[in-house]
Amino acid sequence: MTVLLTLFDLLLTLTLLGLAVVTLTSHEPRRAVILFIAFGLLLALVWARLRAPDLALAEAAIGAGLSGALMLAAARRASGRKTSAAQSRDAEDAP
Amino acid sequence: MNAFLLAVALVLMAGIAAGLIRVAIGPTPSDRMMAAQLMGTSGIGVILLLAPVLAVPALIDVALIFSLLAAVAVTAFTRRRVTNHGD
Repeated sequence: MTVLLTLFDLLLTLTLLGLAVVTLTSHEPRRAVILFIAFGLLLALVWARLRAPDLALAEAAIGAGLSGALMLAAARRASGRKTSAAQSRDAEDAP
Repeated sequence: MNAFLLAVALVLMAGIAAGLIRVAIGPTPSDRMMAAQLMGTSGIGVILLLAPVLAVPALIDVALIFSLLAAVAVTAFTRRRVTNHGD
């Protein structure tokens, strides 16, 4: 039981650290946002493992869900503006 | 019984760790998003298994929020921006 729990903690920590490194070293915004969503998901798992269900709830709802969706929209808008600005001049007038 | 549940959670956790590879090297954003969804689904399973193991029944609500998160993330990902017409 204790060995299994230690193995679980070890696997969770290693996955979280690897995900953090990949997130921080990604260049493209969209890729970084998707990795950030996955990171918030795993962080909520860590809070659940630490017997803090309220923190896990807040992390999953706000940290990964709400800000993940907002940042996905922001990344798409930024990349769309960049490509359309290269194609046409009046892309800056679009709201 | 708890040890068995914990072993199943460990297997699901190994699945999450394997999904991390696809999230990291996925060629297209869709691949990354699908792998992130797989991680979310496995996370729901892990949390539901941790609830009886750690004797924290409130974790079931966290699993509910996890499923809501998956729907919101996919909706934000698949919404297409209308180019050249303004939105």
